[in-house]
This record gives sequence, structure tokens and C-alpha cells, in this order.
Amino acid sequence: MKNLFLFLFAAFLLACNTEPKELPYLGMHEVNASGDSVYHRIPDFSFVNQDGDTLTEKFVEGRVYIADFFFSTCPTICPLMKTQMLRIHEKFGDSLLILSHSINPRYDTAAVLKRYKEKLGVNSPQWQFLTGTQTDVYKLAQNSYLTSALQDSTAVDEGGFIHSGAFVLIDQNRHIRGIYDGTKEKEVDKLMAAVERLLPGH
Amino acid sequence: MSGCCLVINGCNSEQQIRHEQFVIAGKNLYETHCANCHGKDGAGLRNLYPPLSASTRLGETDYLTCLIRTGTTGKETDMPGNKDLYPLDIAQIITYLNERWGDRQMTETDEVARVQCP
Repeated sequence: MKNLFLFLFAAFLLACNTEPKELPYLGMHEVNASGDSVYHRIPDFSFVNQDGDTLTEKFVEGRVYIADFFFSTCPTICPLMKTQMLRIHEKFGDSLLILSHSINPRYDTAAVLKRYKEKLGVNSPQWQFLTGTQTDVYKLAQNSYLTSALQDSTAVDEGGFIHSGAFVLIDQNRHIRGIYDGTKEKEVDKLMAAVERLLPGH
Repeated sequence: MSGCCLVINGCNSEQQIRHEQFVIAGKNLYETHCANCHGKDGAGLRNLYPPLSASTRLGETDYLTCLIRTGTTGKETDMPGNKDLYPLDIAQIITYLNERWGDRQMTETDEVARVQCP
């Protein structure tokens, strides 16, 4: 009996130790004018959503959100990502915003994205599907969200694009707090645990 | 009499082993070429990708062969063709689909190879 208590106590301690104190801040830390180190922050942006409306950084002001990159005709990893994103969306509902950016904006017009969203069975305004110019979305993916959405002409059969499948977690102050593989259920479990820490009692 | 039964049993089990080989190979091919969209469990994804588990056309070898080989447009979502698959691969995939969700026993390579797709 005493051993059991010791074991439970040890297990409790271990459980505490494996829990990181705070989610990390990812990206280059910059130094501001007064010499203080500041965290990488998602810059202002402007895209067009599935309804043809302009959506800017104002939409995510003070909110926790996830950003990902996909395209509607992608036959490889996008369906896996969308299956996982649906899990997240169903768990957190309105507390969490989702921005899904098309990396094939020439094909994925607002109308195409609207149909895609409908077929996915999503009618919540919290999950936005965005399109814009190719340059803007690639710059955003690589510089702002640190994830790769490079066009690769050698991967034409795969849909013409190579991309990372990353889900990027952004906090209320537009800092990146985690990057997860959106094609893997276990990684997405970790992401959901991280969201819960940013949104206590959501 | 017993000799006759043995022969029949022998044939059956040989055929059975071949069927199992097709199912196992078909499963791997399915998970590589089909499952991203249609799901490992064949459930599809909402209205984007149709559930194969609910298909009523798994017994139609000609239809499935052409669908897998050349894809389709104009339905819910365009499906890309799989031009690199050999008739053996397609026969194994169709055998696997039927093992999971259909009634057809076995699809042979020959049956697939002679299908002419438009």
C-alpha cells in the first residue's frame, strides 16, 4: 500500500515535470527601438474570403487562431489536413478562428472556395477560406508563418504544388506559439492541448 | 471419392491464397492512392469525397477500372486518374474494395486489362 502511494506520488511528479511551463514563442526575436527583444509577430495582411469580402488582421484581433495552407484540387495531403481541421473546429467551435489560405489562388477564386466550404459542411464564420495573389500568399506562408508553400514544377502530378501541411497556432497577440503537422492525428492532439492552454475554460 | 475432395480443396485453397494476396496488396495500394481522399475506412469526407463504403457499383469492373485509370470530372469533386497503375494493381484494388464493402469475390488482372476506357 505504501509502495502504491510512493508510485502514485512519483507518477504525479513526473506528470508535472513533463508539462512545459509555457508554450514557446517561435520565429526570429527582433530588437525594437528601445533595445528590447520582441517576439516575431504576424504582420498586417489583407486577403479575400469565400464571400468575396476583404479580410484583414482586424478579424483576428485579440483572438487565438490557426493558419494553414492548402488548395481545393489537392489530391494528396489536403484531405487529411481538412479531416483534422474539422476535428479542431468541432471541438473549439466559436472560441477559435481558422484561416485556410489557398496556395493556388488563380484557380481558387472566392466562388470556388465558397463551394469548397459548403461541401465541407462548414457554415461558421469562424473558419475563413482565403484567396489573394500568389505572391502575397507565398510571402505570408514563408515569412510570416514560417511554413513552406513553394510552387514545385516537378510535383505536377501531385497537384502542382508542394507544401508542408503545417497548422500554425497564433495567440491573442499575433505571436506564433506552435507549428504542428496537420496530416497527423497525434500532432493535432498536441495542437488541441496547446489551444486549451491559450484559451483556458473556452 | 476422397481423392476428388482433396483435389477440389486443393484448388479452393490455392484460389483462396491468391485472393488473400490480392486483398493485402490491394490494401496497400488503396492506402497509397485512394485513402487520402476516400479515407482508410472508406467514409469519404463530407460532400467533398464520396464514401466508397456506400457504393453500389463495386461489382462493375469496367466502370471501376476506367474511374481509377482516367479519373472523372463534373461530379462533386474532380478525381485525378492513376495512369501509372498496372492492370494487376487495379485488379488488386478492386478486389480489396469488394472485400471491404462489396460482394464480388475476385477481380482478375485479365478482366481489368481488356477494359477499353473512352
